[in-house]
Amino acid sequence: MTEAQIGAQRASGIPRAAKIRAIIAGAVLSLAIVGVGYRAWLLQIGDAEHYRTLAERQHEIRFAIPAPRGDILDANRQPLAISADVDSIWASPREVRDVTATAERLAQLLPGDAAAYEAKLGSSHRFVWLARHVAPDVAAAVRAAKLPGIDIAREPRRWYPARSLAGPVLGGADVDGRGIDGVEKALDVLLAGKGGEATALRDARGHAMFEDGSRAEPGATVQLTLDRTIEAIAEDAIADAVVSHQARSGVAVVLDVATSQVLALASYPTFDPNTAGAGSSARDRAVTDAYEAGSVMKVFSVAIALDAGAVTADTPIDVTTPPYRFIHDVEHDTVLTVGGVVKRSSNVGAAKIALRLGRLPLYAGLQRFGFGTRTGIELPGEQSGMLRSGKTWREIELATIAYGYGLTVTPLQAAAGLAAIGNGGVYRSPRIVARVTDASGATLYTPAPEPHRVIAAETAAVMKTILASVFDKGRDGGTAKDLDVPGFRCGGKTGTAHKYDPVTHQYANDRYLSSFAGLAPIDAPRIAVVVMVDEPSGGDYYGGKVAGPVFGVIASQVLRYLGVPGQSGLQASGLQAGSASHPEAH
Amino acid sequence: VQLYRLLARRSSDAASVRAIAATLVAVACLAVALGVLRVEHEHEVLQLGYRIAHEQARLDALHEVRRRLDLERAALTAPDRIRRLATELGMTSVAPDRIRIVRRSPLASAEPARASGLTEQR
Repeated sequence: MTEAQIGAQRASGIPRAAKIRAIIAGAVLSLAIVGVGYRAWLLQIGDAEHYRTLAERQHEIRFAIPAPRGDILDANRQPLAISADVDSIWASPREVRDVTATAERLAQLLPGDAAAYEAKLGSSHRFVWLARHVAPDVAAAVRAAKLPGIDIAREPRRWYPARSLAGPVLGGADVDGRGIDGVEKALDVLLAGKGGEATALRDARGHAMFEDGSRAEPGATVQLTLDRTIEAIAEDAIADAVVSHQARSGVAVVLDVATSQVLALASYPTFDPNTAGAGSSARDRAVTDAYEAGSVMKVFSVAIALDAGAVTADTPIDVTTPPYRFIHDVEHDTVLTVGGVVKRSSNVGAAKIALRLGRLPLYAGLQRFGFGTRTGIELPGEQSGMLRSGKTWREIELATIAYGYGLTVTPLQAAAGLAAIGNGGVYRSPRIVARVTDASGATLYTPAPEPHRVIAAETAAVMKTILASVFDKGRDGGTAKDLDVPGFRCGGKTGTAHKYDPVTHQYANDRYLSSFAGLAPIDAPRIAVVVMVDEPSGGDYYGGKVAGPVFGVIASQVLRYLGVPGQSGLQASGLQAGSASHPEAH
Repeated sequence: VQLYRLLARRSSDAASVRAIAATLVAVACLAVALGVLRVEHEHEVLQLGYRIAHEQARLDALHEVRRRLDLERAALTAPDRIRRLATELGMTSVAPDRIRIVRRSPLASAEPARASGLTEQR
């Protein structure tokens, strides 16, 4: 120690031992601080990723957010299909303490047997559904049972508030919200929306705190052209006809003449899409079934012949000499005008008109009316019908196609063709979707079918006069002479077709398709209606007696609903469907 | 050792030591204040997170209520139910020739507006 150091020590008054202790203490403290700092560095920076992962696993929860399925509305924005949450029971098998006892208790509370529940609870999965979409009282009972590992989740379920109304059109969605038929299937991509995923923090009490994520995009809203009131009128009318005539099935189509928008597509039997699996035997027959429609097709063959100039409405046709022996009429007429051929539904006359017209013009005309191709309506399973190329027709086929044999059409195709006549000869493809909008109201889809002229306006006007004559009364009246549409003057055509038997390869003598196609009111048509009743077996089978009255009920009620003023002086005391005295019309 | 030497200065050097100590204390206070502010901020974020989650749940619940009400209204106004009720009440369809469609005249529609002084000058 130097003199200076000894002097300094004396001046500070700190002994040497204390200094050493202070240095040691300082060193220890410094080391401790460095140690703590190092540890803090490790926690915050060095091993940060590892601990962050652990924390996220403990506190973060990730969950999928299901997208609410879009609503389906009718033309007046009344809901036809809507989603609302219901309870579903699920289990976390790892948390179930006594599998057997829990399964037995569940079997008492839920539908299903204990063995099935035991199998589910005994699985190694972290999550299993036990019962989906249960009633509120069932969910309350399960909640009250407080079974470990058993929980209740809310999930959307599809509801159809009008029950079976338009059931085959809407189709239905399965338990997972996927469209399985009808509009639900055809527009599933738009209706389903886009599910989101969210990440939330969970505190010690398990409360979730929203942190981040993508919100679910709700499905689009689909507004149909279908009017639920008109649909109800059509469904009631066709159901009554099928039941009272003991038929296999029936279908009624109502189109807006000006736009060809579908106002009603009624099929019977129908089903309630609220009930899972109920629709197995029912379908939307207006688009899925194609028929040999019989005499209603005379409307089109005659219209095409008139438009081509092959005949005029007053051209006389000798109907006593059929071009082929098997072609015959029910009525015993001798000479009919072309208008009279439709009015009296003469097969001989229709065949002769077609023979004058020729294959290719008739084929081209039928194509213009939309036969042989799908209409493109926004429904699944649409049939195109069968219309072979005119080049391959033999003369006999040309004759039979003129009165509705040798080609098949769907009721929707027939209605669209008739609407074209009512619309002054301009055809529009029928559509059932008015528009599709997203959650913000932006339009995603609006159908805009291109109209095209199928016959001249003058021809259409002549055809309307001819169709009105089908309702003429009296001895020489039309085939719908016993049909009254209370308050309105209508036009139409009856049809009674023998059904082809695929087993015997012959037309059955005792199985018929009864049909009626009409425009109402005929002076300024608002609606086109096609009714088909398949295999009536209650005694009556003529179109004028079976399908005609259905047209009458639909036309009268729908026109009143649409605010079309009725005409005084026309029969208004109800439909005289059962009093047809001369039902032999085809 | 340097720290010891620093603190072991003679009384004549005391002023500079106090300044350094005061600076250190001020820095420590500032650090504590910043820490408190950060904790407060984190707490506020947490609270807002809870509120967002709560409001989101409330919004979802209200949407669900609305959907249920829409569903209920649609079920109650279903055509077959209305028809059944109407039939029970003895109502029937009116014959078409007994329906008179009354269209509102422009004069009648202008009356309420005129009465309220809202008639547009043309």
